[in-house]
Amino acid sequence: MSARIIGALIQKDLALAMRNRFFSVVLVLGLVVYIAVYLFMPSDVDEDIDFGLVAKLPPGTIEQLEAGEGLKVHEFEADDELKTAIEDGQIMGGLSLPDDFIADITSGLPVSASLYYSSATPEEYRSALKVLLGEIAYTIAGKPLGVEVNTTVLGRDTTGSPIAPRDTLLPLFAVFIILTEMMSLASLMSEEIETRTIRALMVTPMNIRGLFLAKGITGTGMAFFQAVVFTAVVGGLGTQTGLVLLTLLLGAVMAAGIGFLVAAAGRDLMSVMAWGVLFMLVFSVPAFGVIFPGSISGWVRFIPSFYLVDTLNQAVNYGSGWGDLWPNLARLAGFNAAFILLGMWTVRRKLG
Amino acid sequence: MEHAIIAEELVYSYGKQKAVDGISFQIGQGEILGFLGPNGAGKSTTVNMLTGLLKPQGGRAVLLGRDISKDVDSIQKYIGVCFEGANLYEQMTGEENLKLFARLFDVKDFDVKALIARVGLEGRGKDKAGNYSKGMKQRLMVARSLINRPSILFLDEPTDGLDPASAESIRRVIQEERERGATVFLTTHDMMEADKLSDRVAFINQGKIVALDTPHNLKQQYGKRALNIEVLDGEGKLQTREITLDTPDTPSQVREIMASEKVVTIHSEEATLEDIFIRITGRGLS
Repeated sequence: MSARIIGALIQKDLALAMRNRFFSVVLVLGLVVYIAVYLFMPSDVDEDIDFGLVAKLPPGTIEQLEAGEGLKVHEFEADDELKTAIEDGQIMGGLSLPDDFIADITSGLPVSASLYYSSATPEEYRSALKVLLGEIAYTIAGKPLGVEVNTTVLGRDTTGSPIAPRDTLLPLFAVFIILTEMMSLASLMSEEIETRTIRALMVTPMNIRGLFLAKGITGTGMAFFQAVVFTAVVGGLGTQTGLVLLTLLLGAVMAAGIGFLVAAAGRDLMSVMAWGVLFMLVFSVPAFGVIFPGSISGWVRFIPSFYLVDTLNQAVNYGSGWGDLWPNLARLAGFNAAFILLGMWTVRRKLG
Repeated sequence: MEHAIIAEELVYSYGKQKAVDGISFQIGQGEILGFLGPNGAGKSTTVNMLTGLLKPQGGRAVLLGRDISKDVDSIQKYIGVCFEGANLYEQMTGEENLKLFARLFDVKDFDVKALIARVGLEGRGKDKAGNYSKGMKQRLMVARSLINRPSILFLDEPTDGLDPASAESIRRVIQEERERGATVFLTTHDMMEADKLSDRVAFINQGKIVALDTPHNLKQQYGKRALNIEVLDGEGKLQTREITLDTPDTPSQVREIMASEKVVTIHSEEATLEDIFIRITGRGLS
């Protein structure tokens, strides 16, 4: 086959792809989403250590610290402000020095300081904060001094209860399993629409509500069953069984809702796959926060699967209970209702 | 005769395009109505409104005494629909397709093999529908529409593109259904089929019904009745003479030809439904 023929075929296929509104939309939407996710991630390797500081230090002390050690100091007026900044993910940790810190240190009296960091703060950073405290004392006193450190971990303190690497993967795999079944449901539904068998169903006593119910139960059931089997096999049902099962069920319902959306958007198996993968990628982002703590920040809470991932992680890996996690479940249920309603609306629109 | 279907001023538009523009008709129980019109005339939209797939934007449709817009779920128990073009579950066998719909219609004493045999698919019920030929799929779709022994049967182009044997087996089933007492709403392009099967035919064009009567009456009203007589001229070549019937001169014209020319054949000419459709609408069906 000549290059001319191959070129003609490529040209034809490109033209057809560009004329296909679905491919064009997915192409643009995919680019937008991937670019947005990329831009949200840290843009460079920041070798400076950002930390918060509540202290009344002699003029020039902070500049002296920042000049030599690759440090970036964020000053706060009070401990509460510092804690809020840490909890909001603005900084990963900070120090609070008492008002008489300088007087005591220059007098050679024992001094103490408060060290705050979030549960997601990596161990290296925690160690660096302690070293930094010694540096501050040395800068002020001109000699090494012992400082008593009162450490406060904001959020759940995972120190001393490390999670095995494979357990950090559990939420990711659960999301993958659930969303894979979402694609199965979407494919079934899309095929039903495209082959017009849905019209045959709609002239029987089955009505549109029954159809959605049947499909919803099918999709939810398939996703829930597989997620439960997986979680049980990996030992995830050993603690907080009821909570974990409810979380998986809510995740499966979410998959059904998204399945409806994808079915309405897709035209055939390929387009369903394309839309499904888009959802899978975005919805799996929160799970990477479990695998790599500190790698993602607060915006991830806008991804609905965060509440599935976080609840599973907290319940399975840390034994958190209903009291801690009901807000997550409530939000997940809210997202589910939105997905189901939106999904049904889009499918109905497609059916005319 | 009680009416199985009453359509009153039905209206449906797709955006600004009026697909059905205020059509009205009644169909009696046990009657076959041929619903004829070219593509885009509004046939399928009408069927979709009558079967509850579309809600009329104006007017109303009453089936078996109930308004389809208000009581669609209960009416759909008593109707059977065979769509244009195959819409079967192709990964399922013929029997599985029928059993599924028997369950949807809650038919308890469903004899799948008898129904398969009735549409001429004996021995193929265990095959996947996806492996059926076009004619077999169409027969399976007709079978599916009969599962609930419907009081009203909607058939949309049931013999379109089929081989003569498949088409004839479907026509036979339609006749049997009428004999059983079912009302048949037959949408077709095939004027011959409509003429053969229908008690009455309705012509729809650009969303309006332009004629509705028995085929016989339509031919009487709009058709041209004539005799075509083939004769041999003096050089032995065939010539055709046409004599219009029902005129005062007709008998003498026939007598003259019979007496003076060598007649080879005589045929009566009758207008077809297609001729009448063209005469009424100025356009063909295809």
